Amino acid sequence: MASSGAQSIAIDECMALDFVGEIAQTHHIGFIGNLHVTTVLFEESEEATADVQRCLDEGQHFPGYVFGLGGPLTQHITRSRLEEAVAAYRARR
Amino acid sequence: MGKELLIHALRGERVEQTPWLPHIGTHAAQLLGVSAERYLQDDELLARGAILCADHYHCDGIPLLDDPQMEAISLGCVAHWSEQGPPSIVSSPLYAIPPEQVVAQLPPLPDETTGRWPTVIAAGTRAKPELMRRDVALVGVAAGPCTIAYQLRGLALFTDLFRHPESAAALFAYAGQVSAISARIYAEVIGCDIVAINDTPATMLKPDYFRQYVIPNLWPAWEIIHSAGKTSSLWA
Repeated sequence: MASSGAQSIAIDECMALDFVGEIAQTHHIGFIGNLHVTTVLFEESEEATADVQRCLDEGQHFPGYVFGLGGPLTQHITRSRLEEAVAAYRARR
Repeated sequence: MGKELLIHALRGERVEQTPWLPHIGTHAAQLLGVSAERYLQDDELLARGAILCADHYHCDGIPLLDDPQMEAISLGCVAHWSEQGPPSIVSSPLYAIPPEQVVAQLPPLPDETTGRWPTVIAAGTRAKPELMRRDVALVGVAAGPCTIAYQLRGLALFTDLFRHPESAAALFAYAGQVSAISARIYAEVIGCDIVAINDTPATMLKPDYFRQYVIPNLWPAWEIIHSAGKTSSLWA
């Protein structure tokens, strides 16, 4: 993906963000990811703030990092959980 | 909000604050209180949804439409619509035909008058100035070559890769042209700041197949996006 010709890549929630960050840095591209949508927003089994912290801890070390979701929102969610994630991101960005 | 911050980061640069771009799916339909089926086929709802999500979640960029089936439906595939999520493809003109007939039966290439494109273009025309005023990047999300090939051919695509590679190669090349047309419409007609190619099914391919069938058929889209001065992204 990193050598596909795109200027950036977005990866799903299964990938380790710091591993992707190293690859992106090597290829001089941006990378987007990867809040655990399944556990934080669909199953609600993981805390939003903790997973935002994971994303920023792993991603912000590298140039080109963009905070994003690790998959599309394809079902209704508890809006307050995404609002909490966004608030946590905005406090730490 | 920070459109330029987002664009610089997506181009691999270190920026002073981490920007935020959500893979929003059909969440705007929930915020608007309408079904995904209605939201995805209504230019006013698409535009309002993009603006609403950008405002509510303080995004630096927002997709105009996040429906990986849009291109396939415009090529004659039949969709089953959903209340909450994007539609599913339930049949295609290429599902049940022998591999040697695939090339002869490829649908005509789409343009901006095909399928839901007029709706998407109208939505983009409505949303772009509002997002520009908010300093939010408008993001076009086009289906990638493997997504389109898989939706047109179904699971037979994967047996074609083994048993009829020439037919599979022709289908991937055709699908790459469709992705490039979508990229052109998003970049040049609508004027999106960022154009992403969403090709999640490509992650099912082994690396050799990804290099052989997907990467070369992404290049026409990248050339169009970069020639238009826009920023590209691959989502998978």
